[in-house]
Amino acid sequence: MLEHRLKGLKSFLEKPAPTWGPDISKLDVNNIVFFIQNKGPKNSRSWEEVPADIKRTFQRLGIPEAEQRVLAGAGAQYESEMAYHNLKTEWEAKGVIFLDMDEALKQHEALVKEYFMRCVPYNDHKFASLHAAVWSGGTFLYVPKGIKVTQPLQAYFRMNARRAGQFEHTLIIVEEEAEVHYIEGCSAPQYNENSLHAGCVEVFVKKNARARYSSVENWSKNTYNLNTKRAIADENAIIEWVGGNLGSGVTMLYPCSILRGKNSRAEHISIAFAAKGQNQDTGAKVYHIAPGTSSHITSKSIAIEGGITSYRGFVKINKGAKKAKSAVECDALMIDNASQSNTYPYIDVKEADSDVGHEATVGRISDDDVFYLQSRGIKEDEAKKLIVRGFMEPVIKQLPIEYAVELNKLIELEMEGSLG
Amino acid sequence: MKQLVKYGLTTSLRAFELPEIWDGEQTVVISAEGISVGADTKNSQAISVPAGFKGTITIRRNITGNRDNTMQILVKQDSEARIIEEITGSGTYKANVLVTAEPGCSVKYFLLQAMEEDSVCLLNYEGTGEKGSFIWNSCFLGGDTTRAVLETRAGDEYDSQNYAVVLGSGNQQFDIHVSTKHAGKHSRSNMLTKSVLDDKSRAVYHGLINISQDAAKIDSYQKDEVILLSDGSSADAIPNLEIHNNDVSCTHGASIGKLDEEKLFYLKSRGIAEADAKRIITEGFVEPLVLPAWQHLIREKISRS
Repeated sequence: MLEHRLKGLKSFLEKPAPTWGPDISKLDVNNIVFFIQNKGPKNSRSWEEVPADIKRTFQRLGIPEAEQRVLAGAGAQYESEMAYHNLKTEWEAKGVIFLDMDEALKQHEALVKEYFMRCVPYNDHKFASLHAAVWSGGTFLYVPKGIKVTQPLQAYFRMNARRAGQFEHTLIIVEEEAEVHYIEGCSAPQYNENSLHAGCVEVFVKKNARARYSSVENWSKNTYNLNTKRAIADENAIIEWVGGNLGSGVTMLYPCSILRGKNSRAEHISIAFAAKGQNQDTGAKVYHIAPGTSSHITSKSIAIEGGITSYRGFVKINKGAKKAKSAVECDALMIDNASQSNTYPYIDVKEADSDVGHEATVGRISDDDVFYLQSRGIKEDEAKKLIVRGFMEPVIKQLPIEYAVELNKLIELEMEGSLG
Repeated sequence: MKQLVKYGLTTSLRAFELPEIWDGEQTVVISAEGISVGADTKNSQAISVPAGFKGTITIRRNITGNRDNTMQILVKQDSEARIIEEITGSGTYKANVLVTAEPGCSVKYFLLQAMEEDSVCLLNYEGTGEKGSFIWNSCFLGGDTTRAVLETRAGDEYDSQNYAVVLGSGNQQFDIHVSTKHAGKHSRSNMLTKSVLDDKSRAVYHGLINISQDAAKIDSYQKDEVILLSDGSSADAIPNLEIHNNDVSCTHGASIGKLDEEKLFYLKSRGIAEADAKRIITEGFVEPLVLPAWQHLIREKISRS
């Protein structure tokens, strides 16, 4: 592992920063604290053992409560280490492994070694290299063959210190015919100094398996969220990405699906919200390598009070990926005139026997719609809120109810006073 | 000549930096009724279209060897000018063209690139105007490597359209950039590019709609459609939007695929041979965007491949 970290560091120093996308020149990596240890025991299986202040933070976020009611297991990371990690015994008995990444490395070394950074190599790009060098914490999830985990599993990541960096590594392996839904929530309070989140998510979906990865990221407004998420899908496998990006100053996040198995499918659903001082540069990447693969990307974004939202997508149909299909839809809503919305789709087709389509629209809240609602006795700002909610509906309804409510609330909070 | 490929495809240089090469010739024939044509030196032309002009200006350009050319066209108030430019010959041709239209003008610019198949063609065309309309209608058939930038800068109350057709065969490569930049209010723009690619040809489409913060009430659309006829052909589509004003309606689309099998089946069921049916569908796909005078060139090229 040390060797791997050193390779990552060397690669980080060698690689140039990206020349495209949002401005990240204000990010000074030397100012970031790479590892912050928590007091108290790691990986408690009971909330009783978790230190009171950390427990309070997560209680406010509603994690213990939700775990009891709907989740199959939950993990909670505070700064650089996992404070809590638990899996319901019924799933544990079936062979599901849900552990903190550091712990997994100790207990299941061979398994981790086989998959760790095989999907996102250490020299993939500058921040993947940094991640490889300094990663800590995160979740390891292994679902054995044929097991369908019916309740979602959840991890929550919290950065609390100033100038903190969080570099959690999430590794999900879904064996043949298995199914899982993993949810991730992220947040951080506001400080003056910039912090950095450069996590990495790797998902391996085997033959006939299905994985759904949902995340709601709500970092503080001065966080650089430079995250890498990637999945490899084998034959007939389905990978679904559901994402909400609300917080952080600069986000550069492009979940990627590599469809290498025949008839595998990728579904990307995302929503981005940029208010004052925020630059949400999000998108999706799909590589169609095998025949019969299909992908569907839905991206929604809202820009308000000078926020910048960009959709940056990449769809590649490799030679030989016959009958591959891809559909991309991007809709952007601009609430006011100070905001900015960009769309940069890149479609690269090397196989003639394929079908690729892209559609995008950019606009504002339609006066006609507002007028109609007003004529029905709904106040103007209420009407606008309703329209925004309707715009997000296709994404929100894919999320578990707790997250849907949270996301709706967060967006309403952000838009308070700026409508009407 | 092949090393010039590196100046094209997927780089985003605005101006083409080529070594100074003056070992070629070009013959330029400019014809129009009643307008003055500026001094036609070997490598630059200046054309002034008088106010109130209604008519056609034809520019025929035949290239041998390596040429670097600049052309400026000024269209004065209230004219309706049709400008037809045909580029033929063989070699390396690099051009910068600026068309400036005064208020009240309607400009239609038809461009044909039909150079020999060993040629390199690098074109940078810009049109600018307000209170009027501007149409780019370009057709790319020839050359080994073609890189073309066709841009419109639209001021207030402008109707801007940009249509391009690409027919690729053999090892041809095309890098087509079309863009509309809206700086003024109450404007419309429409961009449509259609490509048909056969053999090992390749086309890259870069589209851009840029709406500045002051440009309110804009209605804008762009679309890129590609038909891949052969296994070896490939296409990239990059239809970008940069929107800084919310009082706009802006959409774009792109589709890449093979020939519509249902259409093919229908024609075959009517007793038309497969090869003919393919030709008919392809012709029907691009012809609406091609100047009638050039349609025979399209048909020739399609029937050859």
